[in-house]
Amino acid sequence: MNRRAGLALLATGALAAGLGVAINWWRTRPKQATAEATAALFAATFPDPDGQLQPLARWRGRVLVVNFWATWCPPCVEEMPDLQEARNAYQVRGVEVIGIGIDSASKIAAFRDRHRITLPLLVAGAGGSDLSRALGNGSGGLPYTVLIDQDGGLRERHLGQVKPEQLRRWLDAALSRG
Amino acid sequence: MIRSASASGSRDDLTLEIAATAARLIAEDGYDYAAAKRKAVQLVLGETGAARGRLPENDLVEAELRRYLRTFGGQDHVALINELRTAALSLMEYLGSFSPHLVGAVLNGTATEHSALHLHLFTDSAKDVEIFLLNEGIRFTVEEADEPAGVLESIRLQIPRRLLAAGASAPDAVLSVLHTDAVRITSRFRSSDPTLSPIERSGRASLTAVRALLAAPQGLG
Repeated sequence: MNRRAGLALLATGALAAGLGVAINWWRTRPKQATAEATAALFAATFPDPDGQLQPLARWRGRVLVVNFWATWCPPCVEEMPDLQEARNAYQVRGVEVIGIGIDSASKIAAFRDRHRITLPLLVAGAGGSDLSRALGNGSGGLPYTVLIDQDGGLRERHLGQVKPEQLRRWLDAALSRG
Repeated sequence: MIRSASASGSRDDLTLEIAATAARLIAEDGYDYAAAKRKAVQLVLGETGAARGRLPENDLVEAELRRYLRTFGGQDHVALINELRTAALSLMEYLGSFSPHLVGAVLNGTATEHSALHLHLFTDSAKDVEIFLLNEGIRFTVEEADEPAGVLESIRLQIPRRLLAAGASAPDAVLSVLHTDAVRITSRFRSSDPTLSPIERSGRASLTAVRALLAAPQGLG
């Protein structure tokens, strides 16, 4: 192999590697804060544990934390008090925190009463998984938490138990945006 | 899940059907693997054919059991597994001085409401565990006969209520006591199922591993 061909091969290799990096970045990039991703969410209506229908559109225009969870999921149960606390602290600034349960109404009601949860809990059953996937949850795992800004843009997302500091950082950033 | 085995069906089809039937017996009626396989051969081949039937490997039965539980168990089964693992974690913290490890169906996710928790304990003297339980006022029975190699003795007990969350059911636990050195031998019960997490597949999970398993994001598989 002569030198020129070797160089060309090297250049091709570098180009391919660069392309690989670029594709990987594109595939794993955080979702742009488009209202598109949240359209399905705001179009949905779920009952609360008492059977009252709650259209999600009622929370449009607010900074909204949406937590996908279930009573059968230990990390979800663990983080619910932190979500409740964030709601208590940020409600005066117009924030709402809601929980979408991949679970039955009776189990969610029992959990709500036992742990004195006052943030809105909705009963989505298995259909909630599709909604969480639409919001960028590739694996469909729980808990999954997203933050939606005042313009309906999907701003933050996290799979697994979310730390209280992280929630505060999300909320402070979204509220200071102007 | 219904598979018909025609008269011309290959031996493997029959083995698979026997495994699937055994899985159903384990899930619904609480049979153990050996009894479930014998009964399944009878059900599939009839009394007269039973003698000729080949018993499926436990791996195959476990795979069929997993499939059955995912199909019919749904989130109730996930909830049960998490409840059993939470109970296991409490018991393991309680028995922390004996290097407890979770093994078996609760670890690999094929436990049913009939299953007992199975822990391996590692200590130089099997009597230490008995003395600990006696001091704690916990009733137990010891099964010494017919133990797999390496197990010094097996202790069966009901998990004390005070170790469990309010309202949780109190499963039985089987503690297999092994010699300290045996912890260095890799578990024989590794699973190769790619849908399981590495901890679930490992065959034997330490306290830290069980804690990590419970804290990890949950799915319906």
